[in-house]
Amino acid sequence: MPLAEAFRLRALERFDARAVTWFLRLFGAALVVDVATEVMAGVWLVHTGALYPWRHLGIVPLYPRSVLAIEWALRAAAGLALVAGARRVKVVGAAVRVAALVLLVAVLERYSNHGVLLFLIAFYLTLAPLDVTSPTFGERDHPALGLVRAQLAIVYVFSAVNKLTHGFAGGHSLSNLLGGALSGGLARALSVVVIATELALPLVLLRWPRAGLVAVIAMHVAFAALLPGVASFGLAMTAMAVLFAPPPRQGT
Amino acid sequence: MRSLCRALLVLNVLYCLLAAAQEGIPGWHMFESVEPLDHVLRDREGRVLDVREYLPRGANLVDRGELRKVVAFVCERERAWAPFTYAEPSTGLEVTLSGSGPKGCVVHAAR
Repeated sequence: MPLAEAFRLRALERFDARAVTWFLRLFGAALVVDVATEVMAGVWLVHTGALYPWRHLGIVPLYPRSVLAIEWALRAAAGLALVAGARRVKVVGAAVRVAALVLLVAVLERYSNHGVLLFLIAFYLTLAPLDVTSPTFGERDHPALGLVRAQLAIVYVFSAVNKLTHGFAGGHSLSNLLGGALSGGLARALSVVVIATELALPLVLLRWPRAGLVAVIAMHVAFAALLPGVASFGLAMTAMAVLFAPPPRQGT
Repeated sequence: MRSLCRALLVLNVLYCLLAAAQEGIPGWHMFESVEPLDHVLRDREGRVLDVREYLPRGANLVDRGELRKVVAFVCERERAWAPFTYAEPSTGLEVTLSGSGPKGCVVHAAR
């Protein structure tokens, strides 16, 4: 089988409407889970001064609690709107605009990788209206969705590159992260597996979308079980992985 | 639309390359360098303070620089219990934080 066909390189901007609907729902769920995680983590207490201003870069000063409450409400509302209204073009359009604006402010106030990822997805979705109910949806190119799909590859590949250049493969970082619970050999082996998986996943998703999706879910469930606070990131990555489902063949 | 998306993609990749090459620039850095963070913070009566109680739940500390900033925050919040002693067994660091003055809570140490 030619390489271009095996990896569907000629149809990188074609998408399955059903997969896009589920992507939007999962992305909405990630927005809601992210707000819930921040509420439960005590980010409110950061804004009262009781807790250390974790991830506060100082680009935007820590804002009053009333503004935080509005920010959370808007993000959760946008997420719920996407979950419930993924097939309504106006609902999706309004939800992603609100989410992109609010997430931009939130990320400038307290930086996080998952915050940036959620912002980028929302921003890309503002570039073109998404009507998944259109009968020709699967036959047209959707470059903005292609950008979302490319973002998944960027996250995994650069995460792996950064791990390689910072000595993650030696196992010490993983061992330290898990409180020294791993022996040296096991930590080294698992570290190499993590890097290899991150590098392989974009290709596996292109070639074998279902197997790739299962692998993405398995990896992020494992991360979420081991590290608190990363569930929304895993959900967003899973949502993006769903976009790799192949488009329907033309004429079928 | 396609041209705009391709331009955004190129910019995105270029930024990620810059962030990978230059320390301190936010990028897709995810736990690639986690330092051992053994430490003990005690108040003037010798009671151990858990610095994680002053962090949001789920905050993953990965470097000593950040840990020392959290220690300074704890010292400033709990000045009534100063002076504090702060030790990092694996680096051999042991300092007393007076809690008074503008730098009384700063952990000074060569990393």
